[in-house]
Amino acid sequence: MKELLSLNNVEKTFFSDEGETKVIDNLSFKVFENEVVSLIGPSGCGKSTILNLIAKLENLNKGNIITNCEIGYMFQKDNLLPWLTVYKNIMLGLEIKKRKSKESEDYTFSLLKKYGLSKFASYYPEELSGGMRQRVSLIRTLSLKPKLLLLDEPFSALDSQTRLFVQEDVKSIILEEKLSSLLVTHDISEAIALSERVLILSPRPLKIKKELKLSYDNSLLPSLRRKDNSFSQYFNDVFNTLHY
Amino acid sequence: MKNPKNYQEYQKNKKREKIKIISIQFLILFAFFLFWELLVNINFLNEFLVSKPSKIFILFLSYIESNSLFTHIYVSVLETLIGLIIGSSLGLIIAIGLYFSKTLYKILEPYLTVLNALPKTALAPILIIWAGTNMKGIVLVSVSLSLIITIISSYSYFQLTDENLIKLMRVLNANKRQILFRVILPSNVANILAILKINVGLSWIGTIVGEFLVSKNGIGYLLMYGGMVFRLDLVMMGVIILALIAFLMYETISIIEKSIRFRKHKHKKTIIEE
Repeated sequence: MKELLSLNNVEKTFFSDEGETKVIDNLSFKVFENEVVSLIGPSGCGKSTILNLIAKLENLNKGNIITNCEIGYMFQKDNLLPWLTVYKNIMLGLEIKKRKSKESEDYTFSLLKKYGLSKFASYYPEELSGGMRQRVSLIRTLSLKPKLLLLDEPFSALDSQTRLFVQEDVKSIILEEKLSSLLVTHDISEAIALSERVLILSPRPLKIKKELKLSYDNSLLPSLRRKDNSFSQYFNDVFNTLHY
Repeated sequence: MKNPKNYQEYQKNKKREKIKIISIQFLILFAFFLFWELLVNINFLNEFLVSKPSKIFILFLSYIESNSLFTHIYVSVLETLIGLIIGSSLGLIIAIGLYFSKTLYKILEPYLTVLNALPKTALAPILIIWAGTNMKGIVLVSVSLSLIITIISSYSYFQLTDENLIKLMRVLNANKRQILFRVILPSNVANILAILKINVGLSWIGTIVGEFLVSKNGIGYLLMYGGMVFRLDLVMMGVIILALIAFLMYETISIIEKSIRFRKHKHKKTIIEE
């Protein structure tokens, strides 16, 4: 299996007037092709910092991060620009990276069509529902043809019912586009419903407490996983590791 | 307003309400001038001190006939517009510079605070000596009034730009210019227009103060001259014209503001074929 991302002995410390805080201590893990890996940990443990380091928004203090592919980043909020139409929003990444071409535009159109958004191309974000906005946001990320998606709690801003639909949506898009994903979350059922491996993290300084391999076939959608008997077993397992 | 039964009635009610408000507004204005005229005519008010509308109107006509009124208006409007444009755009450019250089902002902050607190009109005599006792001097006074407040308020508005959108741009590897033109400026359009509205008033203060000090033309000159020779009709005419023009300029910006806000809703929905 091809290795898309590998973190080796990563250490990150934040400095402030109050002193220094070691957020990440000697963290190593890999993400391979066609798998979804979840990072689950208590709030404020520095999960999002890992994604910021991978996306090079912050510099690390020790260790290294090796990425072997184009990376897409999806946020907690949809972050659509309210003054641009859905289509313009989706083209934003291509325009900024100066990769707008007939080919990339056609590809974006095909994504819009495939995921049922072409009707809404000239709408403004405020005219769409929360779930649809998140889907637009995902297509914006996909238009850059990433192989690895970084998902920073992308469902936590949605209401509980929409969340289930969007999780189903995102998982099927990941499968359809043959992507890998690194999902950061504090929601246990979300991690189990979406991923093949769950990395359970400790509070600061962040370390991997336990790695849990799920036995589901990776094409099994969240709704079906939730019905499986092993789901609650995994839930308890993760819960106990997190809290004891 | 009554509870409308259907959409047509709702629109009708709305229109009626609007007409009502505008008519009352005009009525107040008319009544104001009418009482003014009456109170002067029955000698309740001293005509020497407040003049009266009919006299002002006759004066107004004579100024129109001699064409000099338009020169005065033209000069003042020109000075104000140049002052407004220079003050606002320069202020905005400086604010952008400061936004991208936090160190520079930290260095300049106390100076900006002092300059902002200082009554700029106190500087007017010096500014006029520096720039010349002509239109340049007056424009400079006008600029001095709007510049600092534009820098300070634009800067703080820029600071309030949604951090998440900036993070998105950074994830996409956007450079500073792209972040500025694609996120910071577009998300602050409404704020910049609000600053512009305030600057209209400030630029007028600058122009009038400048004209008080040095001028041969302009509405400020009319006010100053009228006051010196105790021609209160001239002063009143100047004030009324000033109020009217300032209102028109303010309204122009309001219309621009509205057109921007409604642009996206007028936008025709084009449907891409499935």
